[in-house]
Amino acid sequence: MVGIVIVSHSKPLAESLRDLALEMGQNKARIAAAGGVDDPDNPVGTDAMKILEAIQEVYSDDGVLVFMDMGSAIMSAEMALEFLDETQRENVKLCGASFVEGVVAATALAASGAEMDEIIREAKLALKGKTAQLGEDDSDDEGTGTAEEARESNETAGNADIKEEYTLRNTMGLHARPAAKVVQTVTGRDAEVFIRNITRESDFVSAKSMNSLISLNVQQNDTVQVAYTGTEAEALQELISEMMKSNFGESTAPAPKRTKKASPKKDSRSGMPDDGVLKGISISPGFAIAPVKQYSVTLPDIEEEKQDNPEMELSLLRDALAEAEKEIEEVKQKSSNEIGEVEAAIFDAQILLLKDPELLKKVDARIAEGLTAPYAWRSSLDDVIEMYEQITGDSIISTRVIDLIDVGTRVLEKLTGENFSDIDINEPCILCMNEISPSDAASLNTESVLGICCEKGSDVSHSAIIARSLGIPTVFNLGPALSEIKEDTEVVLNAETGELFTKPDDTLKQQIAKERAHWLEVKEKAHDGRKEQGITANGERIEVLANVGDEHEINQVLDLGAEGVGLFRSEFLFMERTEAPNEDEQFKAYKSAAQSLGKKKPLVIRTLDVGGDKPVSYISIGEEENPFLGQRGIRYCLSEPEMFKEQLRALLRASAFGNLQIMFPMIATAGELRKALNLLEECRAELDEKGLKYNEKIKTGIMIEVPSAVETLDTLLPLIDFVSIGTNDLSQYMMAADRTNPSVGPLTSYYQPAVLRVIERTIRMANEAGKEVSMCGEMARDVKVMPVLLAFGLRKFSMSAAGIPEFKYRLKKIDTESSGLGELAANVLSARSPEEVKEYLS
Amino acid sequence: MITKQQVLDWLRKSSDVLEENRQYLTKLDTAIGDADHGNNMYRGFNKVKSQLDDHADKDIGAILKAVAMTLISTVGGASGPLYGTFFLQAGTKMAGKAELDGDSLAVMFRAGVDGVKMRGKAQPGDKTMIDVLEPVAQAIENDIKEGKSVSDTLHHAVEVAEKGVADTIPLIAKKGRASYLGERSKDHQDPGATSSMMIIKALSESVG
Ligand SMILES: Nc1ncnc2c1ncn2[C@@H]1O[C@H](COP(=O)(O)OP(=O)(O)OP(=O)(O)O)[C@@H](O)[C@H]1O
Ligand SMILES: [Mg+2]
Repeated sequence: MVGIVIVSHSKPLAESLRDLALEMGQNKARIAAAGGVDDPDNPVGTDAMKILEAIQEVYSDDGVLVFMDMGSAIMSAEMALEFLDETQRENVKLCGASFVEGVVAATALAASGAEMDEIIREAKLALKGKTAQLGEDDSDDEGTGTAEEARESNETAGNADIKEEYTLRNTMGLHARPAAKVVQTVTGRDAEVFIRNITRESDFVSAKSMNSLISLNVQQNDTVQVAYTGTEAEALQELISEMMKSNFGESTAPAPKRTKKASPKKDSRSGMPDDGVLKGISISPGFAIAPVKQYSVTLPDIEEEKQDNPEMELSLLRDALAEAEKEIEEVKQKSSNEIGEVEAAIFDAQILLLKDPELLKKVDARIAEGLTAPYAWRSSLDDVIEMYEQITGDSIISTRVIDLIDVGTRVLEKLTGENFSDIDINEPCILCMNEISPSDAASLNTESVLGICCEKGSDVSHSAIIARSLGIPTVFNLGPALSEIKEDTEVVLNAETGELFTKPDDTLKQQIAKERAHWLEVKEKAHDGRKEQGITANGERIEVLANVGDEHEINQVLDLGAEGVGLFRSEFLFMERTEAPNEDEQFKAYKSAAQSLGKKKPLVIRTLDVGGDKPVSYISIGEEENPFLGQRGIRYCLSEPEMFKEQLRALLRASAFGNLQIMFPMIATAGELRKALNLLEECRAELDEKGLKYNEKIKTGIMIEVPSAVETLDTLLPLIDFVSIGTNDLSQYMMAADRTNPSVGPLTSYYQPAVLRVIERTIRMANEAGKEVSMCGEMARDVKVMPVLLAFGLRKFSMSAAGIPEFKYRLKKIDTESSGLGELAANVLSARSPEEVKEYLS
Repeated sequence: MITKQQVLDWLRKSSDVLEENRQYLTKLDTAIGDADHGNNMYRGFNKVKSQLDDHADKDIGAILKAVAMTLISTVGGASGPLYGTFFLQAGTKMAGKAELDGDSLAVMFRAGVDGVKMRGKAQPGDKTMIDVLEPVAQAIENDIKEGKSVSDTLHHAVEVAEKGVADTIPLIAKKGRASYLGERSKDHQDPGATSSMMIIKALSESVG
């Protein structure tokens, strides 16, 4: 049962309130009074120690809610929290609800076994009864209106004709990107869609509101219910259930366990450890030494002011919103050039926040009441932020708060004409802040900001993605002590290890300065040389290709130095839709990819590889005990020859426009390969008949990812032109360990001697047979094993494009004819453990 | 250098001067507060004084932390958690020290003042003790950096503190009880700023 603590300056007041509330809570509630101070002459005041005792008296893991009268009562209560140990502290909340009504409502609910969040919500609404009775309109008050809205949504949703439940399996649940997709799908349709989180027993909220969707706090494996009404209800149901069932096309790997950060030795909550070393999580690697610049991200303060022309204020607000949208659009454009389109899409989510109907309703109401637009906007945002913050413990939600502050500040700038946000830095520094917002990150002067340090922040936040793409050494989660560092103190940042040294000695400074110089040199040279051909020290030509998910990425990867596409994952074309793309649609996509690459540069397209961890809703593979060992890749395609042939025909037709090659995934036997090639033959004949042109000499190949393919490679090679080693799947099938299962994941390392040996064998056999061989898994971009792969005889690598500049740079240092390389290969092949392999590589 | 004995003297002197000025501080708090600041400070520091003899074996950090705990549990008003946090943060930074040089003094003050800011969220200009504490912390940091002696630094700190107190008079209170008065808090001296100044003066006098 949630415990209640009453803090008052007056002992009699606290105790009487407790008694009053207890009557309501049928004397069952756990409730303690902490009033007054122990001084008979001057008994009025508050005492942190008394509050602490009261909390401990009613504490259980269900939590404790503390109500305070005013002034120092709040400070003393905060002080008391600091004396609790960390696990207890997390379960104790200070509640800003009205003192008498709030306590009474909370006690009644607590006694009935309600949970913390619900009690807080109700306590905050408790004043509503009184103001309503008195006919006072107080929609200014937090929380007011929400209960009514919730009731309305619940009612409409309850009467809806179509209701469906889905369990979301993707790692991050309904976070910003999927929520944005839902909002985009629903908005502008003639239908109402409501969603609730069954797992967390939430109310229904409108699917048109980004904030409301996020507030559902849908995490991995939560079940949601979606209700559809209106003329377009059915159409929307189809679209949304497709998204939900395909888990928004996202990974369904189990979420990493959030381990509590081991806190360094310190005496109080915000203390700086004695050695002055703060530890956080590394977001973007590198080194920096520079003076500290402190910044903080909060919404700017806006004074509460009245106005008597609501219409004008409303139109000011509309203008400001429109301008802000335009500006975000511009930042987005700019960032898509600098940091890539995928990252820039983050700003779409921000634009949706601007249009959030729930938020705007609140702001409009406040303006109508006579508040100025800036204050109405700011205070409504505060409410939303507070709501997010109450949804405890989820790092993804708190990253939303920083987005809200970001958008909110931009609108306030438009409304007030002031400039609150620009981080204007022209001297070299290490930027320290509580959290960095995406637009701040995107607008940083990368010349002067040598490092970024944040108190908070998670590695899945938008800011992290942007910091990474800017290449600034960045560490998040350094804790509150970060703000204790004095402006201009010279500090040392090692973003490889995630450490910030606030009291560096000269030896350390020298050492890091050296590391930094080296790091910069590599980075710069790598960037400068990224468009040169891949070539080794002794002049041997190595092809360096990129892996891509769709045709729009191609220009971007070319700019990063890709010499072609070594793996085009065609399944992305098939995901997030309600039926397979037809031949023409596929043809267009493949053709556009081929044209972006020109006649020469290779475009290796892998045929549909679904199943396993890549479910597609309209493809019914049926329940499988073990999908990784089931109908996936070529196995599925051969069972659906008509659909497969649509893809093959589209590929053939597109081959007329460039150096397109076809690659079959998951081949385990020569029989499968022969069947696939026969279908391809049929397709050629069909095209011939229709007089459609294609490249007669189109190359075909297979992925090497099933051990049986290596074992029988001699029977496969004569049928094809090339093989490409998919190390991710190959190592998991080789080691019989699921790479998405954290307890056996490490077994699937490509440093395993067994994995290295099959790779060596594949490369050797292909080379001996005069067939091209390449590698397209994670391993291909690992510059540490690159020398070994070269020694094995690999001359073609395909990787995610971000790795290309450094890869090419390292390549230039390697002499493939040196005797050391052969020795290294021999050593690695005779190693008995991954650790031993790593030793040879270091 | 400030010795441990001087730290103990400081606490005793603070207690004495707050006792002497109990009425005065309460009078200031009557004008813009709830007429308890003098009593609050007296109650807290009187308890501190009664425990000074227990501190013979402790280092300076531990003494300051003990003072913090006493203030937190006896003062009663806003100044309890505020001064409590001051001494807690200061004590944490001074852990294990038997005496304080200029640098330690600066670090101690900065830590304490930052603690008060964290706790009360007041800014300079809000008409609170921060209007004394913040400029004093800055002055100490600068003086020490420029190589002034501890004694000179503290004499200067007293001047800065006295100016800080006077500067609160025209301000409108933004934090604490007095903020309920709005405009009417003008033209009154802030009690918390005054007690802060007294404590700083006691330190300077103890060091000489
Ligand atoms: N938030 C704050 N930050 C810094 N100083 C503050 C703050 N609030 C009050 N003070 C200081 O505390 C002094 C008042 O202390 P006092 O012990 O009288 O507390 P109080 O205001 O009576 O507390 P209570 O809220 O319990 O009534 C003020 O003169 C001011 O200098
Ligand atoms: Mg008072």
